[in-house]
Amino acid sequence: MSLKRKRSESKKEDKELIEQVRKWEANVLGKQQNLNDVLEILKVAKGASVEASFVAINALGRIFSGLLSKGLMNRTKDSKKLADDAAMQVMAVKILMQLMQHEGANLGRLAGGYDFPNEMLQAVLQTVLASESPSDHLVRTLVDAYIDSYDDVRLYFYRGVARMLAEEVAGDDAVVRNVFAVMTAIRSVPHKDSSEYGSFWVDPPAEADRQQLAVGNAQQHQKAFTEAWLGLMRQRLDVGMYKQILLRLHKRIIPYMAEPRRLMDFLTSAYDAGGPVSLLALNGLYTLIGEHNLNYPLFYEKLYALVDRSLFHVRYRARFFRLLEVFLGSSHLPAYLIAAFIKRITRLALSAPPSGVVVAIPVVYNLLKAHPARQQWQDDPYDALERDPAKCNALQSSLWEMATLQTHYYPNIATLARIFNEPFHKPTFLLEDFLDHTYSTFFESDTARTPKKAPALAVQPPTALFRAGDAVTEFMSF
Amino acid sequence: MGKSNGSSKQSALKRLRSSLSAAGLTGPKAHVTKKDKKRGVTKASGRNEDRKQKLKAIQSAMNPFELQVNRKKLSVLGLKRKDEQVNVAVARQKAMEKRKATIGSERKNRNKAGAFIDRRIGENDAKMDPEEKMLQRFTLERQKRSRNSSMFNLEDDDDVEGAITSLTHFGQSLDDMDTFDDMVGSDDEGTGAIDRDTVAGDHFGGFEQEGPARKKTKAEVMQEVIAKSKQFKHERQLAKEQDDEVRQELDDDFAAVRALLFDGDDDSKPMMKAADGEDNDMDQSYDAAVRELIFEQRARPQDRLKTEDELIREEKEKLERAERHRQRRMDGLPSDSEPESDDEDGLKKGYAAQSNRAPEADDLGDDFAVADSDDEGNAADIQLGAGLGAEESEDEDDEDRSDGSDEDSDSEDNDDEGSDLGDSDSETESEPKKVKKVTKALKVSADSKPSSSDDALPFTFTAPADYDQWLEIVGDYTLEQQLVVIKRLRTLYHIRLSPQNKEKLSNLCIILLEHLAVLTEQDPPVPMVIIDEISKHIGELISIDVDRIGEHCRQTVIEIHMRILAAIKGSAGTAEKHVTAPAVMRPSDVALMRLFVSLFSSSDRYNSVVTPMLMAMCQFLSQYTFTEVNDFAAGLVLVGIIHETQRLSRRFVPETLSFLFATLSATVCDPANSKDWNGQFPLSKRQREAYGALCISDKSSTVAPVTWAWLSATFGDEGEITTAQKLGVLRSCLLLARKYIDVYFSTPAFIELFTPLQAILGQVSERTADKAPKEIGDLVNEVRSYLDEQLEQSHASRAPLKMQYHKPLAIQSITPKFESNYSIDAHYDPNHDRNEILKLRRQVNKEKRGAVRELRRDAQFIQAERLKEMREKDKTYDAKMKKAWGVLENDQSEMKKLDKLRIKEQKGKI
Repeated sequence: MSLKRKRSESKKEDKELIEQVRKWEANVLGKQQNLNDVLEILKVAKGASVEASFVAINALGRIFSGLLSKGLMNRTKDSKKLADDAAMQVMAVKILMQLMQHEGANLGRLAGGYDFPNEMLQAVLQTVLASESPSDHLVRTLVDAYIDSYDDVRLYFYRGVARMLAEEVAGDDAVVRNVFAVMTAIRSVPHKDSSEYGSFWVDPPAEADRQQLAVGNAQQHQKAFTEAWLGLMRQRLDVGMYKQILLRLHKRIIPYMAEPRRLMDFLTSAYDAGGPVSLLALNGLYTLIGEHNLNYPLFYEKLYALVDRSLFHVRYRARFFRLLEVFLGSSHLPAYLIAAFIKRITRLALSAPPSGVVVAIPVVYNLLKAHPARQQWQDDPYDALERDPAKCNALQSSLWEMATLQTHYYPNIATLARIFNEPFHKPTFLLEDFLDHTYSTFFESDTARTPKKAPALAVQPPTALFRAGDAVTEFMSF
Repeated sequence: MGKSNGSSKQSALKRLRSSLSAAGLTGPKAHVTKKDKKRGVTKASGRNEDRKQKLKAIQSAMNPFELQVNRKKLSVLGLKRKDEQVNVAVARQKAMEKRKATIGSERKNRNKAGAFIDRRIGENDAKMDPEEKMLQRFTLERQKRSRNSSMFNLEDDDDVEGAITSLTHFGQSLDDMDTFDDMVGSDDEGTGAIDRDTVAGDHFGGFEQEGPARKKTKAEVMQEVIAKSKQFKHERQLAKEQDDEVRQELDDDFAAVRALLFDGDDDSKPMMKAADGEDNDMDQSYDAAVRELIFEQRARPQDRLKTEDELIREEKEKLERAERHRQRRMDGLPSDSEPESDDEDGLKKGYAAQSNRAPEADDLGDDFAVADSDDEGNAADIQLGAGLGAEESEDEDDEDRSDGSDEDSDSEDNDDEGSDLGDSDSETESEPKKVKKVTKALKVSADSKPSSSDDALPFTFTAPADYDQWLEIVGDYTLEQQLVVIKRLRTLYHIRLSPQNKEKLSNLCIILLEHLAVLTEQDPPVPMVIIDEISKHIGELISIDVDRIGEHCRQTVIEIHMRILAAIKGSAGTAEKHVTAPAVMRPSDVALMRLFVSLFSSSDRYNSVVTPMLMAMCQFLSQYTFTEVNDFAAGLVLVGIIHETQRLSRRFVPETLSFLFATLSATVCDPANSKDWNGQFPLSKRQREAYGALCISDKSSTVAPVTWAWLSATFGDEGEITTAQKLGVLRSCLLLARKYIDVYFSTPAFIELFTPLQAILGQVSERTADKAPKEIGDLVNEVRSYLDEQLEQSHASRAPLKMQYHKPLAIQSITPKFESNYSIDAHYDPNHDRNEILKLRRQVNKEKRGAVRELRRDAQFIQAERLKEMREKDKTYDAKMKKAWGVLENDQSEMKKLDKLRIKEQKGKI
């Protein structure tokens, strides 16, 4: 009796619920203000009653598809209501992803296997990536909550991105920018081992079959990753993005790529670009040369060209010198080449700030020590403008510059440069100790302590502010 | 004994017997002889002891358990080892005897202050026979005698060998000399003048002389010498007597002469005048004069006034010394360690060694020391790695794993500024203070009443403690009057007047530094004469307390550096910063830095004020983006100031040349085209574009000279630099370039440094030919030809560098070194020093162990001795007490006996 009554009571409740859900749905679809009702529907959808939740999910689907067509798409067109929209975007994405999960599960149940609701994801990605300015919050949510955390989402994301970039040959700057933003934000990387893929948004049916599926297969992941990055690199990138990609290339991209050799074109063109971009490309190139048998013609000539007047001033000089030490470390390099580099570096050190000189001296010392054949100095026929290290006559020239640097105004540098006056018995310098100096570190190290002794006074006390015959009085009138 | 024991195959009894007889215990010598008795040796005393000991030694020697045999593993032919057999007992015995002789005797004489030591031969040796003793004594006596006599053994008087028959002097018998008149005077008696003949004939030169047939005997020669010497002595005495007579005569006549002397000036000598008057009067006045003279201060000897030549020479030496010290500091050596710096006025280095300027009323004199000035040690202290900012290194590392957050690498190629930026808090903090001061000082110059003359000034002031108090004092006076105030303050609080004045004067110096900063900021500018005068005062005052004022200057430099950092950050960021921001390099900064250069020894290798200041200036020159006229003026003045710092030391400052070349190029080069810019100097796109403001595009017939006012100028709101001003900058650059050519002419890389300038000057001359007045063209050509000439000279004189010779290092071997006959005892350490050290350490340990053992044995010995003494003492005490008791008991028994007798008697009586 009681059971029957209960059942009938629950049926009654169900009917009421369904009615309520329909009402909410109408509300939501009608006016966007009542979005809170979506939560109520969601609650019902998660509820125990099968019929009611079915109705609720359907309703949700309709609401979301409606939102998808109205809300998000609309919003990409007018992005003025950002404050409101950021929250909306995030919520919409969240709900869509949730929906996707349910759909995936449902699809899987229907097909009796595994099916990822790829179309829906692509639609979401399309919407997000094509928008003029997706909020940081949106990107972060998308990356942190889904792409980073779930292997299947990531796989389909990379695939989708690759397809999108291939289609958008004309190059929509916004898409490229968005893709770049999302891809650089992703922290997780494809694993080498298939068994490490374990976290899925849409659960595959059985553990054993996972490796047969694309989402559980390491090679598939790597391939998707590679395609996506290569697709991005093919686009027209601005200098900032270029630098960012180059910066993370050798550590975050190359090791996880299926075929790193395909980066050759990208790196070669970057290396040829000159300036800081070249310096950054050097790292990736080095990895390719060292580990993937890349043969780069005229490599040293180009390296020589990178040692230019701004070298000691650029931000990435530490990186460059680390690599330079590696590249010139081989004992099989011809003497003229080493000589050319030494001569060029010392020549540039003549106009470098102390932070640069302090790097140049150890570099030159290490090179001279490693290549004793260089140590035959004569006259100075060095041609600073010659681009080919073989023809610049560096081997026949003296290191006058080092002699001058021994009288550098900063006493520590002068002392350091005196090392050339002594036999080359000192161990080679550890370059790392010298790379991170700046004017400020020098200044602070000088002024951090109060000196023990008072500063020495001049022999003659001043009788005027400017001495007669002072350089200043010669061109300045008061 | 051990040896005989070991080798013999005799029976133990035989061995004992033989050893007993060898020791003299048995046989004929065993008993006390008569001689022994004569010597006082009795059988009971020493002899017995000796015997006991000998017996003990024999006993232990015969004891096989006391024989230690060191077995040898290998028998080596011809090798004798001392320690094959060691008789422990004998060794112990020996050690004991030795201790007895040393420690024991010391113990005996412990509390004794002195002692007679009998050094007669054989007196302490019990073993020596009296005959032997006598013989030894006799031979020694004979030896002594013969040695003595041979000393004066002249050829002719060797009558008795070894016997001294008579006393002699200079080989002559004293008996033969009836007088001592003809003796040669010994050295201390007189000049010892000996005539030439004697010297030529008899002293060392006389050997070659053709003498008479008979060679003079030594005695004759000596006689002659003595006779002549005596004669001279006599003559000298006569002369002296004559002198004495003459002196006596003079003394006698002196009274008369003195009267003549004082006759002339009667007034000055009242007592002399009185001599003419009454006797009574004279006496009184004489007494008065004497009393007066007693109390009159005596004239003290004065230091001799130095002649003009001497003064000049001294001055010159002082300057030379100061210069030497400076040179040493320039080379980074401590000036104190200079060997010749033991100057008596070593305190007066630096300022005190001033040139011969006229002494002034407020001269500081030399009563305070200019602090010794050598900071070179510091230069070595600073380590390159020391000052790494964590921020910076982090920044570098972060590049690799950056997560999109550092997207700031967009346009600027030059780095450093991002990491170089210090906190700008202190800058904002210091800002209002400065502004306040400036306004006050503005009041100073505006409110000043030029009408009031110096006479209206009070003569005394309270010493100002800070700048506000100073403003209260001088707020109402003109600048000229302020100078008078400074002068009066310095006189009032002269360092010699009170030790507290040191602080007041150093306060004044710091105030003047601030005042100078404020004055240089004024608009219209304060006349240079005033500023020069204040600079001079500062220069003279700084030596009062170099520590404090030096620290103040250092802090000023740090403050300026912070502003520079903030400015660099600003200039790197936005282009429109100039609209609101004030000039970075204020005129006051420039003035103070210039003053520091001349205050401190700027040629030093390391100077705690000047070196950081150089660093700050160079950072400004190389990283700041110059756009406006005041920027360029500041840059040019800084280049000038740096030139002043390197005028003597000629150190290499890359930033100045880069700035000069870039500015020169900027006047003619196309900012859009980087290929157009010659030279090696670094040039980022941002800087290049900023330099575009300096590009001369129009024609101008005038050149606006760079003035001090440019430093604070913003030149209208349009911010455009006029062509005349550009030409002014160009002219300044050219002049400075010529100065730097001179400075760096001797540097080895002169050609490398200045060859790019040729091309730049070529460009300048070519492109300004139709735009600039002739003045500029001439200057360019002049500098060009000068540069060409210098480069040519440098090319001609430069010899190629040579690598210093050094022995090539052996290639490091990594094959393990095998020893074919390895022994665990041998040392295979290839390091000779380490081996030696190990050896020495072993020796030390061994010695230490031995010493400890010896000391322990010594202590045992002393303990045993002490015990023995104690027992002896106890024994004697016991005996004494027993004796005493015996006597007492005896007495007592006697007494009792007597008592008994008496009782008996009494009973009997009764």
